[in-house]
Amino acid sequence: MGSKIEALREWIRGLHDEPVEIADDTDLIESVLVTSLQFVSMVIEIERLHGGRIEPGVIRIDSMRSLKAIDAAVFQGA
Amino acid sequence: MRRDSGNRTAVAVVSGTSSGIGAAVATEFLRRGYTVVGVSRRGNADLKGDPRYVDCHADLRERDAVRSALESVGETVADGVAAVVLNAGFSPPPHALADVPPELTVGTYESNVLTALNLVQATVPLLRRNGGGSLTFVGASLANGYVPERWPYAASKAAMTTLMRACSVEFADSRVIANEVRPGPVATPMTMGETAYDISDEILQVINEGYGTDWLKGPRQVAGWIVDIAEFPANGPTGQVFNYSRKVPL
Repeated sequence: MGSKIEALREWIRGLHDEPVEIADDTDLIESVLVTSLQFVSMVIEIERLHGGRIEPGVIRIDSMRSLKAIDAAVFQGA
Repeated sequence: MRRDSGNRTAVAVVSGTSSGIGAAVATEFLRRGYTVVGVSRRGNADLKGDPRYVDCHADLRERDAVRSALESVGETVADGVAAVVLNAGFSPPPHALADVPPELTVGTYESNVLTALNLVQATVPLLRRNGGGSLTFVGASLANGYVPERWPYAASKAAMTTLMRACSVEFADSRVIANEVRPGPVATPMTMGETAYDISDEILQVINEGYGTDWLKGPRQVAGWIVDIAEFPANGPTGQVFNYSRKVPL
């Protein structure tokens, strides 16, 4: 995993008062590590790390579920 | 241009236009050819650029301030108003019912009910001058009262529903109809923070699928429904609640 996904992992950790474990394949949505209200902020953070808007069609439920999926769809897919 | 019965440009008054649903409703009225008087505390710099948008600053909780604000745009509303959308409001964070501070309850009631009452009283003469029109209230499904931690908000929205129904009876002879839209969850700065401004349909779809959200939607979509209902004819439905929430009973 590259530095962008590590930065995103840290950003998600920062959402929580207590330390949390976030594996590459942890389901961010089902585990509620990212709540529905935080999801939009996460997309904005991904775009900031990515350096631009995410292309239409990339934001899908399966491409946003885990760090591994985000890395493949956005950071490696760029 | 949208024309009223006298072939004049139709005028709509919308409260809470500084952002979120109110701004989207004002934009939709403009798109449909209306002149829009937006009433809010902060104003809306973006909409202000449109020559058919009149930015009116007022604290809607203050009766005299609302009247003064509308008097200040006397020329725009000289021939009356065709539609009024009562959107301004406040949604406090959840709070355990046993510990709800009285001032939170009173403040929420003032922000959601008193603001609507003040706007009704200030605009009904303008609707009558138009020969009739519509009052459209932006309500909430939570008004059903089944979410105890949201009680101050729910109670204020339930009171707003009774105000809407009272209006539908009181002003029926003046050809003024009154209805309420309960849009369900909407992604606005009030519900999701400032990031909600630019939320795309793609993101909304992911949130709805991933979190099983009760049909979270964007302000533009909701604004379309609200303006559709605000355009009901004077002999159309009145005293009705239109619910756009899939999982919450009325």
